[in-house]
Parts: sequence; structure tokens; C-alpha cells
Amino acid sequence: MKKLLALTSLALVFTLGLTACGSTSDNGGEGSDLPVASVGLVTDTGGINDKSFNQGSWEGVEEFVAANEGVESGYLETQQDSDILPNLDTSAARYQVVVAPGFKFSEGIAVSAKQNPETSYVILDATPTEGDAEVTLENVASILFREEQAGYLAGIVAAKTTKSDTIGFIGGIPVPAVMNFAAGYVQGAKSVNPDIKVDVQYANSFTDTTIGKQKASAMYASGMDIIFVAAGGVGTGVIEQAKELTTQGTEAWVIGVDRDQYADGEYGDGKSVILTSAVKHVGAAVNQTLNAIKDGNAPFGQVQTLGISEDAVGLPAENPNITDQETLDLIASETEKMKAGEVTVKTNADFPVQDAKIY
Amino acid sequence: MDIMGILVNVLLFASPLIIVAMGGLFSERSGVVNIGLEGLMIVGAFVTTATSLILQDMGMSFLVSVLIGMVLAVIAGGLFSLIHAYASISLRANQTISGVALNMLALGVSLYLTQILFKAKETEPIGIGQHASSFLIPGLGDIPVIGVFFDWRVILVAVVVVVTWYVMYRRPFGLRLRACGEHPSAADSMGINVTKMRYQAVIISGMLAGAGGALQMLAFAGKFAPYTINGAGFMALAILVFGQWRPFSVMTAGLFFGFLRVVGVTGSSLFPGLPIPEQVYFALPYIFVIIALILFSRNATAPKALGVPYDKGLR
Repeated sequence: MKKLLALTSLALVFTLGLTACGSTSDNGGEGSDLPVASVGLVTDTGGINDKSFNQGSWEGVEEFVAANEGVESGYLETQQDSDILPNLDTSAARYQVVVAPGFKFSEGIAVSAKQNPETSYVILDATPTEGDAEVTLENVASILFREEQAGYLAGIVAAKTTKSDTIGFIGGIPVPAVMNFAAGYVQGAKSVNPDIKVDVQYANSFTDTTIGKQKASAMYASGMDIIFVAAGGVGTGVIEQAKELTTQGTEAWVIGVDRDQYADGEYGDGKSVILTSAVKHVGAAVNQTLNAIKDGNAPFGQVQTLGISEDAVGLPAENPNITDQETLDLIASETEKMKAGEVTVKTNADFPVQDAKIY
Repeated sequence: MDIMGILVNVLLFASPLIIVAMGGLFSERSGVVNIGLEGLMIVGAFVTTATSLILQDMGMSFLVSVLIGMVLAVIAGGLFSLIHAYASISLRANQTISGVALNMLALGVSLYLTQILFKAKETEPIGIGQHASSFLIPGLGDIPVIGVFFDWRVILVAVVVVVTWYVMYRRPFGLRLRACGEHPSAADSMGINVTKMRYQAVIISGMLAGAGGALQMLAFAGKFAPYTINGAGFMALAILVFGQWRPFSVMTAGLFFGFLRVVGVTGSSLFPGLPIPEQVYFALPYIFVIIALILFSRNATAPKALGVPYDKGLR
């Protein structure tokens, strides 16, 4: 009896801890004849306020809802990866359009989209797959980003700012999105100074802060003064190491990724070790796609790759740590050239950047 | 990176693992497997981060807020380990399962509270990087090379190791505790309260693991996030076994593993000229640990009653 009681109470605590959180806002609903009457978002395990992909996508949904009166919206947080498919199906039953941010959804979305042909899906940073094969589905729009263009601009900033002419890159797990950042970074740095040395390393993890700190410690000690890090939680360790060195009087910069990480690098008096960040404007991409669905020219069954021309990638508008006007002008002119197609940046497929190599 | 840089990194990496392994040593020497070290570290890291952020918000200095946070982390770790103690000692549940449950519960509860307190999946940084040098003891910390040892985090770990050895081998408490892990019924027949001893051991392990979690957070992430601990508790368990449940051997094992790990991660920067693939460096710590285990496993002496719930009726 005692055992049973203990087990039951333990189980209760668990359920409390793991219950999925969600939120819905009803301001339109059933029977609405809007082209897009309701939008639902399913987050991955990062959660709705992860300051990254999920949050950015939700901001895009909210932006769309704010501009289109009467649209119903809501999100479902995924607590563990095995819940992805059920959550997609739940959202599909509730909403007309389902947004799924991240590569973790690529298999689930293929299954769910086939089961719910009436529902439209938008998947970011990935394409629907079955097994290992990509599939084309008439109710799924895939959006990829030209990370290499943001990386290219980051490389220009790094090459213009470095005093030692050796800069570093730390990637998480070498997946295409991360490798594209690296490829662009190397090309951008070389475009400013062909002799610059770029040390590329991968942590093979998105979560191990210890690797980030140790790698950064070794790289800064070997004379690099700027590290571009595209590695999730690993980046936290890199930023802490940079703060430590900077407050002790050694110059150590970090270039952030995915969003403007300036606040993460603050070490007092509003100063930050974040030189700039290679940003993906996920929210803007979601908003644009939802508008396209509304206007009836949605990219269903296609893979859309959004870049600097669509304002989907780039550097933050404000970069307090870039003080050199020449650098700012160069960024502006290179951005224009990329938009006009005068400068093309190769992806990782055409410009492979490998682990533990100096370029 | 020079010798100094390697040394600093080894100490940073190994200190939290060693202090947690000492906690595991208490628990396991009394006969209770503690897989829950990881979860207890998570609790410690969360409590320290939350306390420090809240106190700094109220105007307290960084170092004081961290110290208070660590004290609370030790208390929280001790309290949280009671769940494991109750399930595995009083209820005689499977110790491994109870420990795994502790790990899952710790992460869930910590993230839930983070969500409530800070309205986010992870907290803001508490400011380790900008205050890193404040851990050094003024004056002594500036001495070249050996200065890195005068970090109060390192000193804390060294003190814990020495005290653990003293308590285990020079005090009646340690003798009784070890007896409970080797032959609990014999200990019981000599008038030792096995249940009480094991409870005390598990609570001590929880307190030390809580402190270790705080140190791990202070050394690396500098904030609480789902990835702040990221398996360090399991590494501490491995070091405990590698060090054959003996305080000084465990400390040596921790430093050895830390050294290999730092060389493994930074290898390609340390020896840029050598044509060795990075994967080889990554594998180094694990290869050497396997070799060391093969060489030393002959003398390995796990506590005999480890993992066996004590049942008076079976005497």
C-alpha cells in the first residue's frame, strides 16, 4: 500500500512536470470565409520562448494575425520528439495552416500531410522526407534559407575587424544549415583579404557548453581574435570564454548566429563581446509565406530558398561594435551586390568546408 | 595554448566532476547506487542560477549572490536526494530505476520553475565571464603557474576530497558506512542502523552533487538552460568507477580524464602542424580510459552490497 501510494504520487508529479502547454486565441473561428482563417504552430522541444527558431516563427504568425483581422491562431509545444506527429495531427484538426519550424519535423510532416490533405503545411529549414528520400507533397510548402549569404557578410566583418588576420569558426553538428554558414564565412573573409586564415572546427554537438569553452579557449590563445559560432548551446561556452578574456584585457570577439545575440554577450555597461550576428529572419519568412497562401500563390509542393533579396537573412540593423564606417559601407554595398546578383556566394555543396581545417 | 591554458581548462573541467564523484562515493560505499547524480547536479545548477539572478537584481554583488546560491544548492540537493533515499532504502525499490526517475524529474521541475520565474526556457547569463577572475584569491592568484590553484572553487574541491578520505578511513562514521556497503547484515548485527547510515550517505551525496552542479554551471554555461549539465553527472559516475571508489584515486582519475578531454577537444589547435584527423583527438579520452580500465580492473573492488536493498528478513 505504501509502495503504491509512493508510486502514484511520483507519477502525479511527473504528469505535472510534462504536461504539454498550449495557448489559443479565438477571434474568428469556424465558418469564417477568409482564405487563411486559422494558423497553428507546432514547436519542437525548444519551446515557444526559445529566443530562436520557435519564437521567431511564432512572431511571424502573430505579425500575420495582427495584419489580418479575424484570423485564429495558436501553438502547441512539443515536450518530447515522439510527440511531434500527434501534435501535428492535433493542429491539423484545429487549424487550416500548420507551421512547423525545424528539421526535426521533416518525417512527421510527410505523414501528417498525407493524412490531412485539406490542411496546408509550412515547414522551415527542412523538406518533408520519407525514410531518407525527399518527397513532394501538394499541401506542403518548404522554406530553406541562404545561410551562406549571412555567413558571407559575417566573414567580411571579421576580416575587416581582425588584427591578427586569423579568425575562427565553431560549428555544432555538421548539418547543411551550419555548413552553409561556414562556407559563406570563409568566402566572405577571403573576399576582403585572400591571405586571411580561417580555422574551421566542429563541436559535433549543439548542447555541450564545455566543448565550446575549451575550443574557444584554445583558439583565442593561438592568436585568433574573432570566432563565428553556429552551434546552439555550445556557443554559450564560447561567449563566456570571450567575456572572460575581454574583461581581463585580451581582445576576443564572437559573431553570433540565427538571431541578434548582442544581449547574450553583455559584460557590463551595455558593452558586449558580440561583434555582429548572422541572422535568419524566420518570422519574416513565415509572414511572407502566410501572405502568399492568402493571396493564392503559395509555393505548395515546392522548396523555396529565401536569401538576402527577400530580407530573410543578413546582419542585424544595429551593430554597436562595428565602429569602422568603411566596414559598414562595405557591408551595405556587398548586400546590394548580392541582391542584384553581381555577387554569388557558393553553398557548402559547391564550396565544401571541412572540419579541423585551416582555409 | 600553453601549459597554463591547459592546466586552467583541466581544473575547470575536472573540479565539478570530482566533487560530484565524491558524493557518489559516499552513496555507493554505503551500498546505494546513485544514477541520480545528474539530476541532483541539475537541481544544484538551477538553484544557484535562480538565487544569483534574483539576489543580483536586488543589488547584491556577484560573488556573494553566487555563494548564497551555492549554499542553497547544497541544501536543495540534499532535500531532493531524499526522494531517491526513500524509494531505494525505505521502499527497497530498484536503485537504478529510482535514480533514473530522479534525473527526469529534476530536469522537468527545474525547467518548469525556470518558466515560472523567468518566463523563458533558459535564464539570462548570471555574469560568470565578466567576473571569472573574482574567483581567484587576491594576491595568491597572481603568482605565475601555481596561481591557478588559488581559485576558491579548486580549493573547495581539494578540501572535499581530503575530508572525504578522512571521514571514510579515519572516523567511526566512515567505517560503519563502508560496512553497510560491504555486508549490511553483519553491520546490523553489530548494532549499526543500516537504514539510517544509508539515508545519511545518500543525503551527503545529494548535497555534494548539488554543489557540483553549481560549479559546473559556474565553469561553463553561466546560466541555467536544458543543456547546462548535459551528462556531467554520468561522467562523474564513470570517474567514480574508474577511481575504484577511493577518494584520492577518484581525484586522480578525474584529473586524468579531464586532461585527456581537454587535449582531445583542443588537439587540432594545440598541434596545428600534425596531419592527425580531429576524430582521433576526440576518441583519445575514451581510448585511454579503456586501456586504464583494462590495466587496473584486476584490483577493482566495488562495494559488495552495492545495489542490493537491505532486507532485515533475509539475514
